[in-house]
Amino acid sequence: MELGGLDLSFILNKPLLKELISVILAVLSSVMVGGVIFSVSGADPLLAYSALITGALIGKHQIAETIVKTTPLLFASLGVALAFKSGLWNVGAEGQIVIGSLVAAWLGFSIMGLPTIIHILLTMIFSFLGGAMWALIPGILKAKANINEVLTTLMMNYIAYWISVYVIYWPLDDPLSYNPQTPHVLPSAMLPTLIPGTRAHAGILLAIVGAILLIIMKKSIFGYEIKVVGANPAAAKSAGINVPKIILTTMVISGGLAALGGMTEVIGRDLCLKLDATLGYGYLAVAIALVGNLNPIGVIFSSLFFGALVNGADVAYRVTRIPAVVAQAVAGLTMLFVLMKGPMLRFILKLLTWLKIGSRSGLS
Amino acid sequence: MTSPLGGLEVSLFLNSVMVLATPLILAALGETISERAGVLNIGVEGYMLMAAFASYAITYYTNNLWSGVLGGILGAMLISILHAYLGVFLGTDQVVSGIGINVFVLGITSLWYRIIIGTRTTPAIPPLEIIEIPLLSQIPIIGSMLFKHNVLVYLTYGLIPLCWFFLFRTALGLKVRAVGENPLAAEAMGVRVHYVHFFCTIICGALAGLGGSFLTLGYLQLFFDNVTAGRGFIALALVIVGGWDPIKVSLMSLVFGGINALQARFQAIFGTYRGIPYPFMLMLPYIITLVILFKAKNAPKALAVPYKRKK
Repeated sequence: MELGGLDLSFILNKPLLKELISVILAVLSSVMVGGVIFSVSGADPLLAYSALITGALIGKHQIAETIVKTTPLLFASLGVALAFKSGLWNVGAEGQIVIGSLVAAWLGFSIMGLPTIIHILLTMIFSFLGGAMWALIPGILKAKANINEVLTTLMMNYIAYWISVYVIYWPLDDPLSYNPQTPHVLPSAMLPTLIPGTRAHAGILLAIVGAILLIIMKKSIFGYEIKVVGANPAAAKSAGINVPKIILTTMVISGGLAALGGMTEVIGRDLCLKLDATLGYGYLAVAIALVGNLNPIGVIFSSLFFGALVNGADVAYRVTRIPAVVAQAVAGLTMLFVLMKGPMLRFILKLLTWLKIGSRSGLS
Repeated sequence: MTSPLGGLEVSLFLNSVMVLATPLILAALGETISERAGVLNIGVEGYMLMAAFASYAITYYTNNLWSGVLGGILGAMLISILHAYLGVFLGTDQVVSGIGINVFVLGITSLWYRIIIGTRTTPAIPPLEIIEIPLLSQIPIIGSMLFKHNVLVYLTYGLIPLCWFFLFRTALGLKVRAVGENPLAAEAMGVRVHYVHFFCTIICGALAGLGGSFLTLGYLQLFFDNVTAGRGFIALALVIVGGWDPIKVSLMSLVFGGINALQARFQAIFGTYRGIPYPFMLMLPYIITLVILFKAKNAPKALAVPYKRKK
């Protein structure tokens, strides 16, 4: 593959570079195809995207809101990435987030007289445990009875959703509010503000700590075992790895991380649990984990991208009346393009080579 | 005649069982065929949702229910072609492709719905006409359960044995099952594995599309975000529980239609004055799906394994 004397085939031999270029290609393609779909459906794509970028990144408040949106997505996608890495299709982040937010909403206002640090720590621990327990159910079904985790985690999402509706309308209904929401959490449970005057809170730092812990874990024996189980469960078993134990541990950590994403929405952003506050986050997290190549550092960048997308879409709606659900449509497209990234990169390299050859033969 | 189910006629209740079961049967039949060939369509939820939207929107504009049904089927088939391209020809992971399709379709249908209709009003569309089969519909209980429906339900009655016949009594059906169990051996016998995969995925799209169209045109007469509410996922579970057999899968769907109808009744009876909050009723189908998955049987051996041709 020669391009003007430049050999491009080296890209295929450098895994990191190849990964980076193909992911960028995938994201660009989804943005382009998204633009075509918007213009077909009667929305001006250039206006939409420019409103999206302005809304997400230009100005202190916009950046702060992007950070706010990124926080739960980062937590959840770290959890999803870990599970996917071990070969578990945990698509239950949606429900695990909900359970985490329920626990946080309850502990946030019900325990009085605790110092701030202890209250937040307690809320974190129990939110994590809540999500971990929720993910443990499909984990046990998978490890003990070999029941497909895709279906069980999906069912758990719907169950969690209806539990949240129940909790918000019945036992934890805020009598002072007309909106369906729980009472506000106590000041001692609130995450400190990161950028004064905005809603950006310290949750993002916690999420980054989570990512760092996962990177450290990758180097451990457990991290290695996860990788082996994900690559080849049969080989892992014959190598003496306790596969059910790995499945259960992975699900617990994965669900717990996702639940922390729900927690930050309650004690960081809304300061109470509102109905449908985290709707769709779990499915976005799947897209983010895949775009981030299931790698904690990659996931940090891809959740920033999607956080900006979701926040920008909210702002774009107010400017252009293009509904904010475009974020979801673009996320789905990105997932599909990420699947195609390998063949796409090879195709484009081939195309470049072919174009060069074409022009050369034209010259001579 | 009043029943113990709270002043509701038994026949009317049984009628609603069939209505609630029909979209599940159609989606599950499609999934049965594609999984028999070894292609997993997690995106069946997305196919249904796309069809539900397309049939609603087209009927809304044209006021013609038949173009709605057709549009729904075509919309779902288009999405299934996308899955077939990714999962069959590119050999990518079928779980991820399916989830991607679901996320994309949820986003795009919600977007289009807001662009076309907005969020303030939800205009209803005319229902498909109910055809009472003379004589048969007069049979007590069974009559109104099975023979007082719109034409799509009758079509479903025909599709159940047809799918069974196709899979177990035709040469093509044999090829489909062979590909799902052992694609290498099938290819050695001269079966074009990729074409069988492609064909069965699109059949799945068409049947799920019919189910999705029925949901909006034959039952709800409305569209809202995520109108399918996991019905496609439940259909996926029903295929497993029904052991990949069109007849058993349809019977399981019928049982599930019954559970859904009961759930709706309970909601009406207990939800109002006996203090069982309605969210518990609404989560019932999903809990039952979780429980019945314990009865899962052996899947086709090459399910969800992308087939790579040896050159």
